[in-house]
Amino acid sequence: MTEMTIVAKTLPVTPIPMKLSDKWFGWAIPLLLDVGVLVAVLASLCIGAYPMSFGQAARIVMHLAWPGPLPANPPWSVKEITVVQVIRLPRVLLATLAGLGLGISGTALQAMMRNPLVGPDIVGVSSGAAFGGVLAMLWDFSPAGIIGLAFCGGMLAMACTFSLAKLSEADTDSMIQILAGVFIGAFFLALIDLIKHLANDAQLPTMAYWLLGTFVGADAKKVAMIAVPTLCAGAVLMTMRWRLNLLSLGDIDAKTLGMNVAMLRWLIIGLVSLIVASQVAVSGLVGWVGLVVPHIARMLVGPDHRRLLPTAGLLGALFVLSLDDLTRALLKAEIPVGVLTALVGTPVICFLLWKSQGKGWGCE
Amino acid sequence: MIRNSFGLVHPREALWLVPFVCLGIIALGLFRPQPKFPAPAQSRIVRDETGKPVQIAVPFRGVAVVGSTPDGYLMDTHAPEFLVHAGDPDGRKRFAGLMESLVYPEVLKKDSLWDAGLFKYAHGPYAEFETLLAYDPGVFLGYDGGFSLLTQLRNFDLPVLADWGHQKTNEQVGFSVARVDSALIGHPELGEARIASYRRVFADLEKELQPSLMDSRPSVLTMAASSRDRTGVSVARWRQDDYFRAGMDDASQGWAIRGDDAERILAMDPDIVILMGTGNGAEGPREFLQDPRWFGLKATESRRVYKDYGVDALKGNAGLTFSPVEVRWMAEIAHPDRLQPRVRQLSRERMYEEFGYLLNEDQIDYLLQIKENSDSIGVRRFIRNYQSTSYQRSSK
Amino acid sequence: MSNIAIEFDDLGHAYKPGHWVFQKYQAEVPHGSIFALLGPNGAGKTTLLKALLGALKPTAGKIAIEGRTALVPQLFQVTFDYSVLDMVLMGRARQVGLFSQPSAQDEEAAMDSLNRFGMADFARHPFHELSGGERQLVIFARALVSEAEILILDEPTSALDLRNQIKVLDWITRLSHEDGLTVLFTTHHPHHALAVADNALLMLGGTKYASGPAHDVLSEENLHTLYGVEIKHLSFEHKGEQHETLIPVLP
Repeated sequence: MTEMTIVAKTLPVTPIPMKLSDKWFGWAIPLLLDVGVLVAVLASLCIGAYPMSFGQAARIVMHLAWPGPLPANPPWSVKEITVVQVIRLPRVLLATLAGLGLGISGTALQAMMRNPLVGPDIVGVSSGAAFGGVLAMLWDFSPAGIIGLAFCGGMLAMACTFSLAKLSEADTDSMIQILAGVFIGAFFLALIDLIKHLANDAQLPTMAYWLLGTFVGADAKKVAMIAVPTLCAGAVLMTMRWRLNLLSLGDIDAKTLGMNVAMLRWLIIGLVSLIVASQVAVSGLVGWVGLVVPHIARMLVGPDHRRLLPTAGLLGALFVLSLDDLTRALLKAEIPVGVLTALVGTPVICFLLWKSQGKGWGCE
Repeated sequence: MIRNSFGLVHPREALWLVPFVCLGIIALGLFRPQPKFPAPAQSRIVRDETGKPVQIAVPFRGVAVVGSTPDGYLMDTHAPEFLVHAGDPDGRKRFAGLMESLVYPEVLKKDSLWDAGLFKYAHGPYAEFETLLAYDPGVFLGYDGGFSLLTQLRNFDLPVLADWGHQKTNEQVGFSVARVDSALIGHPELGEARIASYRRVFADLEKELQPSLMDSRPSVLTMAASSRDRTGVSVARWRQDDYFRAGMDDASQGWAIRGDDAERILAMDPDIVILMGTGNGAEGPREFLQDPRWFGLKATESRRVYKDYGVDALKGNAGLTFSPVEVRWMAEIAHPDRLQPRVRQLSRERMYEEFGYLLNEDQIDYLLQIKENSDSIGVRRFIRNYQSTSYQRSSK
Repeated sequence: MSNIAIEFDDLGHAYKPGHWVFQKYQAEVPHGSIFALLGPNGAGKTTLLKALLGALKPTAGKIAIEGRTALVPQLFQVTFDYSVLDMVLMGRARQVGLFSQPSAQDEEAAMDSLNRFGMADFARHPFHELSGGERQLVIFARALVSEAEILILDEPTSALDLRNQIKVLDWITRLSHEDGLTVLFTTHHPHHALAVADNALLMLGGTKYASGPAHDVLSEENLHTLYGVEIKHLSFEHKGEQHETLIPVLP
């Protein structure tokens, strides 16, 4: 036995076997997604009643983003930059950021709850945030007040969900957790109906349309309201993405590996609530994205959250952006995006369920 | 022990950071000052409804009517050729039901005037901005107030002309729109002429009716109700001036503005009921007279319930052309003994005088709501070919 | 105190007030030794383990643990199909900062650990495709790569066939003697405990327990009290070496 020991200590460093697809995935997928999102943003700027070419849109966006004053004799007309800066770019950014935030939040929630069948809508945080939002609308708060109250509502709902599950002494990965989320979500939806009943004639149509989930009426302020929380909280979640692997093992396992599970869980709850609340505050209830997109991402790059989290975020951005483009361009009737994500998301998840046949969803 | 801070060492990690940073920077770009449209090289001044001067580019590139139907503009200018944009498909349907579409069928037919996307209230202010920009008109014309599109357009120094927004009564609105619109096309005398003939019709009515010398006046209520939807009861309270000119009293005077319901209307108990007949599935006299809620009203017992003049033909926008005729119609209902039956003739005259369009008998019937009011009393004087040698002293 | 890895004193837990699972337990586990925990089903082995791991706050008593612990649980069910290397890499949680990703050195350490247990070829396989015994080895590798000083195993031999049982016991011995780890394991097999453990604790229910050197504690009387069956202690010679074992006497 002793010989084995000595031998083990002098073996050269073991090479890590690489699948061919791994090398590919390591570089190709992130590159593709990065470029894809940026191209999608620019392409979306070309959609609309006013004619705009891709090159022109790219030029304008580049000059807008680059620090320093705009050129005195620009190669674009005042109309073109108005259309881009005032009308289309805010909406495109809103959709992209919403998708990014929902993709990341959904993935983090699925890791934390160890269940691939959850999303922000199921855990109740969307409904809670929506309730906070309509309450703020009822009391005629400023936009900053709406997002603040939406955040409080989201946090409240999440806290209720987890407390309820804890009260029934369920493990954090059980069906009880999901049911608790469904109940709490339903409760807040009922509260929303109460608020709608209390609203006066001027407030009600705005509330109703907002609740359906829409990016109409986007402006710079709304973009700021969603960009700051999503990008900041999203960045923090991104740095913690490897920890999500650990969290998804189980409370006891994670704890014995040396993690402060409770602190991490509350941190993630807080960050997810912030992201979802900011998204709900500016665009209403956009469901299904946080549930479907992590699945697709997992099928593409595997369950390791070091890759999964950013992939899900970027895929979510592409998903929501393309749906918003669809409703803007082809469907003149402006179907709310929340309706479209439900219409598209449901068959997609059914298809995924069928195709994967349980693989990658749980190895019970 | 932290081996690598923030995982940025590996270039693959940096790759994931790129979209975050890019989105953040592009979002920052949104906060640059909004672009402003440059002032036109050559321009003329037109004053808007508040008297503020507005620069309109020369040569004139036409009018885009924003946020309403173009009937007001057409009535005041008779210049459909300057119209560049008239509204959205909903507006087109509304316009199709108006008298003005008879006079200007080409405006109704021209698709390019109406292909803006649907403008719903809940949408943001830039809903139709894109389409409007593509039209590139010389001026955007419309109502200026609160959340209107005009206010948003003004933010970009686009040529915006408000023809009404701060007026209190319908008459003031009519005067303002007439003056601004006719000034816009360079013929302010058209607007003044319309205002003068409007005043003339009222003057003629006053001479004949002499409302100030009446000792008793019937009370009237203008309302809307539906026998199918009991919540749809509403009372109109903006016609007090018209009532006076027609020799009537306002039955709703003294009652608070909110809280109209069937009970309250029974308490008001008007002599005459005029039905607005729009919105909430509101109905006409036939249904009203059979609705058990109203059996206790004096107006129901005496069958003095009427659908308002021009409600269907003018969609509530009688304007300078037909408002005086409408008031005369009310007066003839209230005081048939004091007035000659002249509403049909007057309608025909006004339409011809203002538009050069001769209404036929069917169209006048539609205007006067002959069919709707056939169950009520005192309307025989409004039907075509009514012969009356002299006005009779009515026993009512 | 510095050569005691785990010490608990007057330890007891009651899930409901008045219903004590166990009470007034006391034991010491020296560094680098192997400690066996035995008891019938329902005696509170899992409870005691949870308390040692810090997953449970005991109703009474104190626990003092010197050193980092690692757990090799009884069941390895993972929701997502991580690869074997990913699983082992997760053991580096203590070494990687909260906002950092594992470095190349972490991945190398993980591979080395896998190689040690002969599982290097499985590095890219999905974890759930492995057999029970292979999974356990991977978890061993994970425990090792976390640089823990105390290894806690929950019934490590229960789900394995004979060959793998022996393998695990062999590993337990090597980890303790070669790497100096303190190993604490629960088991239903007294002969396993006798073969490898230095010290043992028999949970006899309520306040009764037997704790001390394995050889003394795992006596026939104690085991008879524990399991209610007759167990015989046997010594025999095999290939010039003396071996001992415990065998239940079937009625």
